[in-house]
Amino acid sequence: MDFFHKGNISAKQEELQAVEQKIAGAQTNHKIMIANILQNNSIRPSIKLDDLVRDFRSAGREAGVQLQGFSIANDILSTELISVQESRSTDPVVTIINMMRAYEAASNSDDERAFRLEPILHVGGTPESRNSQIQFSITPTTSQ
Amino acid sequence: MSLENYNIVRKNRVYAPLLVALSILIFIFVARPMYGAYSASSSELLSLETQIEQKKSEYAKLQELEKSIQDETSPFASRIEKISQPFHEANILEAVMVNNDFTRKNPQGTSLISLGDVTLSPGTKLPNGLHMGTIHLSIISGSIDNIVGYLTYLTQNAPYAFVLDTITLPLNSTPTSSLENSQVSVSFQVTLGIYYYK
Repeated sequence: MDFFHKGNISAKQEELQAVEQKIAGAQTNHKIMIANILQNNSIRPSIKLDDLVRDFRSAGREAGVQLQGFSIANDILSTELISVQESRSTDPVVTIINMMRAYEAASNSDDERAFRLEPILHVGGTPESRNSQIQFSITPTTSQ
Repeated sequence: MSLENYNIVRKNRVYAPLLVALSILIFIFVARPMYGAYSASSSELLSLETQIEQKKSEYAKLQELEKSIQDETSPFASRIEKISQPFHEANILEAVMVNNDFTRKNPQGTSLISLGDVTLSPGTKLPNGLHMGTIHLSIISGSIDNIVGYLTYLTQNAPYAFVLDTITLPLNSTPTSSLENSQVSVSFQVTLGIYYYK
C-alpha cells in the first residue's frame, strides 16, 4: 500500500520539474518575455503627432477661435485660446461657450476626437477680446 | 460461581488494564506518528498538485503569447519586434540620422530636416522589466510640417520603439487659415524615449 503517497509525490515532483523546464525554455525567448510584460503592464503610449497636429489645426477653425502655441506633456495638450469680437453687440466669450458646448456634446457622443477639452474655469481679457489658457486631454494611443 | 469461572474473572482483572495500556502505547508510538506522516505527505501532495496547476497555467499563458506574436503583421507583434531590438548605438544613429526620407540628402545636398547634436543614453531598467533609454535631438527645418512628419516617422515607423511624450511646437490654429506658421523655419530640441529589452 502506498500509504504515504511516496510514489505519487515523486511522480508529481518530476511533473513539476518538467513544467518548470518548459517555462524556463519559453522564457529564453525575448519576444515572449516582452509580450508577457506588455500584457501585464501598461507602458507609456507614444503620441501620434501628425494626427494631433492635424486635429489641432482644425480645432480653431471649427470653433471660430485662435489657438496659439502647441505644447504636450503627460498626455495633455496646452494652448492659449483667443476669441475676438465678431460684432459690437456680442461678447467674444459667446464663441468660447459655444466651443465648450460642442466639445461637451462630442464627449457624450461616440465622436472619436483625438482630444477632449478640459473644463475652462477662467476667461480673461476684455469685452472685445477674450483669452484663456486651455488644455485638451489626448486620447491615449497604444500604437508604436 | 465455579472455581474455574472465578479464575477467569481474576485473570481478566489483571490483563484488562495491561491491554488498555498497551493500546494506548501503540496509539502513541505507532498509529499517531503514522497518521502524522500520512497527513504531511497528503498535504505535500496537495501542494505539489497546486503548484503543477499554477505552473501549467503559466506555461499555457506563455504558449498563447507565443502564438499571438507569430503573426508578424499584427500591431502587437510589430511593437514587440521594435522593443526586442537591442540598444545598439550604431543602429539607432543610422535609423535616426541616415535611413529615413527626412534626413537623407537629395542630389542638391539638402534634406527635409537637419540634425545638430544627437545624444544617446541607454537609461535604466524600469520596474516592469523593460529598459528605457533616451535620445536627445537638435532639429532644424524650414517647415514645422517636416518636423512633425519626422517625429511621427520615428515614433510610428522607425525600427525602434521610440516614444514621444513631451514637445512644444510654435503652432497656431486660427479661424481663417489652418496652415498658419507651417512654413516657418524652426530650430528646437526634443527628447525621445526608447523602450528596449535586455
